[in-house]
Amino acid sequence: MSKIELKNVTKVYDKTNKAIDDLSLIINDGEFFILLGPTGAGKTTTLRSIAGLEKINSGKILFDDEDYTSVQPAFRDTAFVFQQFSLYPHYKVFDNLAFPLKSRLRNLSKDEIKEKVEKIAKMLKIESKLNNKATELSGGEMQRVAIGRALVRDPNIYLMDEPLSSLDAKLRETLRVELKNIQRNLGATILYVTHDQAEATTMADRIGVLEEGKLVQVGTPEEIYNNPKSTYVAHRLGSPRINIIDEEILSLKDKPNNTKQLGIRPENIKINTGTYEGKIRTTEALGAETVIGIEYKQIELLALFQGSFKGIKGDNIKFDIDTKNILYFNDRNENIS
Amino acid sequence: MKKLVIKSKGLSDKAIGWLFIAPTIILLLLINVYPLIYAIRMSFTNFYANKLTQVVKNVGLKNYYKILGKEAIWEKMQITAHFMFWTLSLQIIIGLSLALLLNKKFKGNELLTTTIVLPMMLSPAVVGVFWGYLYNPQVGLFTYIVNFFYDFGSFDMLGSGTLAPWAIVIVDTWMWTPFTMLICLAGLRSIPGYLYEAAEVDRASKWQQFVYITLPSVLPFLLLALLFRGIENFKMFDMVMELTGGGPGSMTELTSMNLKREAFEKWKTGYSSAYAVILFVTIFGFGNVYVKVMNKIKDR
Ligand SMILES: Nc1ncnc2c1ncn2[C@@H]1O[C@H](COP(=O)(O)OP(=O)(O)OP(=O)(O)O)[C@@H](O)[C@H]1O
Ligand SMILES: [Mg+2]
Repeated sequence: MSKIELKNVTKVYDKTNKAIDDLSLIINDGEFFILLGPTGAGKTTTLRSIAGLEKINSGKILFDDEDYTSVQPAFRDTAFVFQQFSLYPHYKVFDNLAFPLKSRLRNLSKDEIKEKVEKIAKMLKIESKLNNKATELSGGEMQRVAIGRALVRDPNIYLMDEPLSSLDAKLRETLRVELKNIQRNLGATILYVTHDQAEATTMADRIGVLEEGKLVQVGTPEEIYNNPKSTYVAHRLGSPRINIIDEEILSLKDKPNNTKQLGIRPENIKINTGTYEGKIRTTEALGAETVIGIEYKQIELLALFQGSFKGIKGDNIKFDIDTKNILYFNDRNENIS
Repeated sequence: MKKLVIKSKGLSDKAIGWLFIAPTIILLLLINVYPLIYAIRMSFTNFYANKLTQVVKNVGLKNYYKILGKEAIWEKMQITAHFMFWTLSLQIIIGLSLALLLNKKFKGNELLTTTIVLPMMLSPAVVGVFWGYLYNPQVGLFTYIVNFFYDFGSFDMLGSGTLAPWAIVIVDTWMWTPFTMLICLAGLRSIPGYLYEAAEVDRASKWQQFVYITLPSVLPFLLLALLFRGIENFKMFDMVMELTGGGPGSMTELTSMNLKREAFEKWKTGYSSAYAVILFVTIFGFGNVYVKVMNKIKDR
């Protein structure tokens, strides 16, 4: 496993827009790093550049401080889980898993290969499918085989492009825990791409938030959650999403100068107490919690209520805002708390 | 609940379907199936098309015994097999190689493809005639080019018993390699690029990528090309007829040419009907077995 460093990497597909723009990033040895960003932000492009599948236009890519910018993919020794599963369609699951081990750069015996493949198959619960053809699998099984094909190896870095996206919720949760365990046990370096913030917060050692090819913030999940640099980053983490409202709506006394907007996390709005009064617009039960949409001065605030909620749409409701945890943003959407 | 039954007026869907394909079916019956049945019937007779006044007698399986008992048909089969083996092998190997080359992106790619495909567009008889000129021992371009690299002196591709079988192999390969190339190219284009990317990241060598990804993906296409060319070359007639006329002697007389000779020079209509049925059964049998194998490979 290695430390991976990107230095001012820029990748341009067509002249007009940059898929990744002056991106600098260090992924430490043994770190689980998650790239978060909306569609088109350049997540896949970043992974492909590290794997060597895309030629970058400028910048450097270092593996353990060694320059790998123009090294062929095979010699970078990365393991890639592609967004489309990209299994080898003519082969059985076993041979798909064994394929990376058959490289002549590796030189493993048949027994070693068999042992490794079976271990991984067991871990990903696809032992019974080893003799199926790759095309005779469900989407979730294909994705697990794709993950397995990366995990049989011991590469410099694992690059995973939304590997859990087509699995059902339960399996996703299991694999999330499993992947995190594997990563800890192996001390693996993983760069992982996702849209799913639950994945990001539960697995990541650090998160990088991408916006239109630019890395806007890097930090631990707590840092990103509690102290987002901008409204954009604030929106990326947290479910239900953060309330971003004009500061005039609350007209608070203690606030930084040039405050334009306020960010209030739903869990920081307490209901049935306090001085504010609004109307219930929506309620959404999430099991142990309820998300309540409160109409207040023509806007909607989302509040998170612990326990099951008895209110009815249209009722008046009192609420309080925990002012200690409010985030303040200026007119450039930057956090100035 | 009340069931809604809508009764359509006029023809049912099925009837309309039949109506649409009826003209084709009638035509096929008329020009394919009827002559086939007629030929089978004649193969049991001693009918001569040039002796219409003679009484036609039923001779049973005598024609078949006669044909299969003679050395000639096996000789012709051998000549045909030689022709088929070499043309098919060369066309598959060269066709696949060219397809691999043209599948790469480079400047002039499309122009080159068009140029390579040209021979296929010509009429086989025309090809036969002008290769006849190219092979000419005195003024032929082919002879000249070969002698340019190594001086064999004057040699006659079409006149020599050892060279003539190769002369027809060369022409057929020249003409039909573009066909196998096109089919292989279609196969190559159908392979998604990310498979190669995955293999590259998995550290597979170029050779491994070829063996594990390219070959299995184009194999069904290759087999299809082989089937088409196999059937075509089994009944090859026009090009070789123009080129050598079966000569020298009968060194390049393929089964189809032999058949034509029996039917339309010696006018042994009953006899040659039996001959044709034998050839038909041969290729039909081979074709069927082949398609079964091909499907099995595709399902693998
Ligand atoms: N092969 C390509 N040719 C041209 N433009 C491309 C190519 N691949 C990606 N792009 C562009 O680069 C930008 C970043 O794409 P990328 O695939 O990295 O996004 P992403 O963050 O992975 O999105 P998603 O979450 O939808 O997978 C997009 O604007 C996309 O249109
Ligand atoms: Mg992507």
